[in-house]
Amino acid sequence: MGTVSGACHPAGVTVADQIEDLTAALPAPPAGEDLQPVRDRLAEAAERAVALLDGHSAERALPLRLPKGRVLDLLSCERLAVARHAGPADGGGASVALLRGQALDRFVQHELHEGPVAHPLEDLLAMVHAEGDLDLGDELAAAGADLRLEPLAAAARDWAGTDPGWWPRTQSAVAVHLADGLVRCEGRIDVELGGPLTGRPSVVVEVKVGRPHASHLGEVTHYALLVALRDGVAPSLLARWYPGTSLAHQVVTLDTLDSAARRLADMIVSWAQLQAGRPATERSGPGCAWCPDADRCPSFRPPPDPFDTEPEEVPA
Amino acid sequence: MSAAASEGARRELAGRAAARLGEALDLALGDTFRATAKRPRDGAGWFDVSGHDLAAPCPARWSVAGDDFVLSTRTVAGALGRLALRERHPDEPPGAAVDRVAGDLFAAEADAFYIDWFEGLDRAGRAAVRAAATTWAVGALAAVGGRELRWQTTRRTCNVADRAVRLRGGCDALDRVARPEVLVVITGRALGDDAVRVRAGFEALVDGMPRRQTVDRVRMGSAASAVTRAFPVTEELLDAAIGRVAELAAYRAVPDSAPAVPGRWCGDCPQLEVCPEGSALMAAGGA
Repeated sequence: MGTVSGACHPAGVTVADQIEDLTAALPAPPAGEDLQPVRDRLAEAAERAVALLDGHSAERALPLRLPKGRVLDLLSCERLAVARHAGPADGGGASVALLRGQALDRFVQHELHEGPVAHPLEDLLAMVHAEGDLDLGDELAAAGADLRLEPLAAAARDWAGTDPGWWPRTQSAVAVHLADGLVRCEGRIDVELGGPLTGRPSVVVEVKVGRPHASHLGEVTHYALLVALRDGVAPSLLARWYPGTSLAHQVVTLDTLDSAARRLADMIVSWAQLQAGRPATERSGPGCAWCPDADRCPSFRPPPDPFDTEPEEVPA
Repeated sequence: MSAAASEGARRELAGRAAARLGEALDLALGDTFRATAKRPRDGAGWFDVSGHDLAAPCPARWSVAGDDFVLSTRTVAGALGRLALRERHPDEPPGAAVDRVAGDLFAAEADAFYIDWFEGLDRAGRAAVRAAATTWAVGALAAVGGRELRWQTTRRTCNVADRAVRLRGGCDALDRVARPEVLVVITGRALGDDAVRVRAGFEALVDGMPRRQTVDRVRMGSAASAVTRAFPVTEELLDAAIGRVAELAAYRAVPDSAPAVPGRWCGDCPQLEVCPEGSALMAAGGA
């Protein structure tokens, strides 16, 4: 069992330092009436979705649920979304990459609430067992050294020194219910800081293992939309934290929210159509790697490594 | 009845609700579950109905007595979060309040149901609990817009007259007004759900029967959507809860009458091995 030394961010700048700096002079985020067009767009999509399902055999699909994972699956490939809704892939357990992501979330949680992780696997299992998730505990224990936990635990030290005045909280639920609750868009945010009750700007941080990917940007903007509708004010800052790097961040504008709302509105209607019996379209891509239908889908392609591709040439 | 009914009207409402609950349980239970003596400390021979039970998805599972409550961050976060909010100093961050009370639980709440479990956890396990409690506390405050409330750390119970039946409430906080409204903070359920309305009626029932007077309103809150919804306490609201309690009681009195409803809950069901529907579902790969 490894012990983490006092590793810190290479530049010695903690996540807390970065957030303090980044939020020092932010413009006021969209709020209140600014958000009405976004609400209206989603409300209209939800009404359309319910109208598609209401009174038919597909009514059993109500309430229509769109957790974040389903939205991302739909963006990737409709068949993937339908297949994952029907059940997990055969052969079951979570991938090592997924388990490492679960571990990193908890190491950040540990750093925020208790300080440094001393014994990565032991501490991780203790946290998972306290959560009562024995299956996950078994998977983590079975993966053992393959998880390479020490660097993750060391990287989580970047979260040291976060001021409690930010009211840091982890795995916080966010939900937007539309059409009288018949359409439900839900998610769980890795780390939230600040917000309306705290007197500080609202900051949303997604904790990510590995390298940045375009889909991660879609995730955080989706969360920005849900938080804006939940709180009546958008987060001031959206960030992704990859171990050992500075925060990838962006300021939330009305355009950011509008784009996320258009995308979500499309997904709400698409999911309703799929529940009503429209055949799912197929699109090969990274999702093929974890698609339950991979062995029978004619569009299946061995998933490309998104990090190995050469940058596309930009036309002159 | 208006939301701000007179004290007399609220007393009458509580009295009628108690009578209707008695009648409903007479129909549901017949001669079973008669209270012939004081409830024993271990509750043997009795059954409890909690707010959580109201949403029991599978009647067959509910119909068989058994305690499948498990201590975990999920089941303790709310209790520790409420304790922290009760003890929180003005302007103290909720996370700091959680850390403070968790640091000396015996001093803060010596009879907390989770105290032995929590004290038995190691440093990392406690961090997981404190993290969950902090998230709960911040979500609860957001749901009520930061309003000052009297956060409740003990649960109300109510024994039904002449029956071996106890109702267990789950009120999270009371408003700081002379005639308190019950406030329940919940997570994960959309406030438009009918189950939320039934739960509101149930909390009003459990609170109102022992006091022989109902509250004006029950306010249900959702941390995930940071909103609350107020339910004025009326005959209809109470009847929704009474009907559900009676339905659950009938299943317990005649377990064979309780249909199995297979679903994702089958995975941890103690009846799985003797349940054809649940076994079939699990054999097919689960819900």
